[in-house]
Amino acid sequence: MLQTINEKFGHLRQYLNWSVEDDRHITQIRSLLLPFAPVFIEDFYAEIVRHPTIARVITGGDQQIARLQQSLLRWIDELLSGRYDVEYVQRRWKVGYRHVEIGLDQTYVNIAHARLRMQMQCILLEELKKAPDQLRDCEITLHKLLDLDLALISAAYAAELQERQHKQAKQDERLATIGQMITGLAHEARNALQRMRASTESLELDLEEQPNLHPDLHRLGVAQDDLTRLFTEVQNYAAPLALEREWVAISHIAQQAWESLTRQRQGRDAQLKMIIPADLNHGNHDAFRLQQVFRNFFENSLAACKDPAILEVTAQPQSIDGQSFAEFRVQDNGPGLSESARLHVFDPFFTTKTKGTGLGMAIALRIVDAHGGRLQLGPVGSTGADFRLLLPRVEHVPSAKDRHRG
Amino acid sequence: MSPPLRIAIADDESEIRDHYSKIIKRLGHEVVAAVDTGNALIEVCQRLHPDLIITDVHMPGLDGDQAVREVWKCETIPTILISAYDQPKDFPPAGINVAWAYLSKPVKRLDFEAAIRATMNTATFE
Repeated sequence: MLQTINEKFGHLRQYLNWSVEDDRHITQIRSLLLPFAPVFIEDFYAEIVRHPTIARVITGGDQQIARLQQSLLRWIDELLSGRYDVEYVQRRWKVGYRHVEIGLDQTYVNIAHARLRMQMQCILLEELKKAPDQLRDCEITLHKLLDLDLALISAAYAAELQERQHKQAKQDERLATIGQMITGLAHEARNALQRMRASTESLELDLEEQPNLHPDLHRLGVAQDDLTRLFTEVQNYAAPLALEREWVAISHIAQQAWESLTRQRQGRDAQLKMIIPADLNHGNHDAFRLQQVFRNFFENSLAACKDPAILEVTAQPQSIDGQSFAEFRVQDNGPGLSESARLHVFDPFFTTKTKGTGLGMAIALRIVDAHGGRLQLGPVGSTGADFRLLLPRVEHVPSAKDRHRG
Repeated sequence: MSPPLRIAIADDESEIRDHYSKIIKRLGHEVVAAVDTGNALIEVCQRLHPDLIITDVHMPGLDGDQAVREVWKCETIPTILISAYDQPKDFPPAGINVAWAYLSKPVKRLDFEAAIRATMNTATFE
């Protein structure tokens, strides 16, 4: 990589006709500029903190600025050193790379570079105003030098971008392979599960007269159900999501989800309260998929809350970047999410339950994404769990399916 | 009590065939054939004309759904497809009016029994 950069630098120098004359001018430029360096460096950083987008990369306050000012001084010192060998190219390239690493958009680096150039040029103009020939020579050399430096920075950006794309492609490839493998595994497991199920049920039929063995068979059946559910969830997560939209009421979907949890609510003091304004209630959604989302919220809440468990679904209009959403808040009176849970709640395989695939929320996020909606957490410090499900608000255009339903 | 059905089953795994046979017999129906390939399924259907086909989708050689498509060209026998994979695309083929059901593996006995009843009810209704 460095070899290439070095060669490129050599070519560019030739292209710009860098000569011994330039080397001589550099000595003069150096003696003119260096005394002013502390002043324009001060000015340079004062300008940066005025621009939030650029200042965002400076996280260490005044101390960091002081360090950066030192680095910039070294950068100028080296720029004007007159020694443009392999080490020089290497160090300049690294400076460029460092800017890539801290995530600064190349546009800002270019602009900052332009500002330094302007400051240097102003000093030359002032110092050489009585020697126009020298001024012209020095200006030309300074521009060549700065353009070469900028070429090195751009090369660092290009190299990083290439590397990142390469890494991303590798990562995508690996994920795709894992996805295919898991889907294949789940399918094959289903065949094995079918044999287990068949054998267990055959045994059940054979052992009808021996009720003492029924609890064992029942436990076998439950374990098979759990395994089946696990594979179904993994497949659901891996499979492409095709929505079947229809005009439906969220209150109805949430109620259905709640009713599907009869088993989990058995023996519990748990209540679902819904306050959804009529104008926010309906939307063009996949009822089955959204029921999965609500079921997942409710299941988690039931697992986390002590009795009496109170779950609330409320709604309000919301606008993000000019787009209208209906925001459904799903809150409970449980302990809420820990700091780590807040960070990872939507990651696949993250779970706080001892039994659970950790795919529920990841699937919910996929479903909401597919609806063009958003799934977010309420602010830090919310009491209890606080999920925000935002769904786009659209005009109702009756579909064939709606009409069919009468 | 509805009259006993003559049922053909196809699955490449013997445990599964045995299990289906056991359930079917318990329900008072008759297993006229239990085969392990799609080609064999076509052959028994053409020879024995069962009232109902219960078949796995993925089998060595010809898949169950492909075999059924072939059978339906001559006779629309009600069918239950069972698969660990997604429901086959374009099934049933357009223009064919036949009672059918799809079950996803692993199938529970109660669902299996319900599917037989539902498919035959639809078939009778038609």
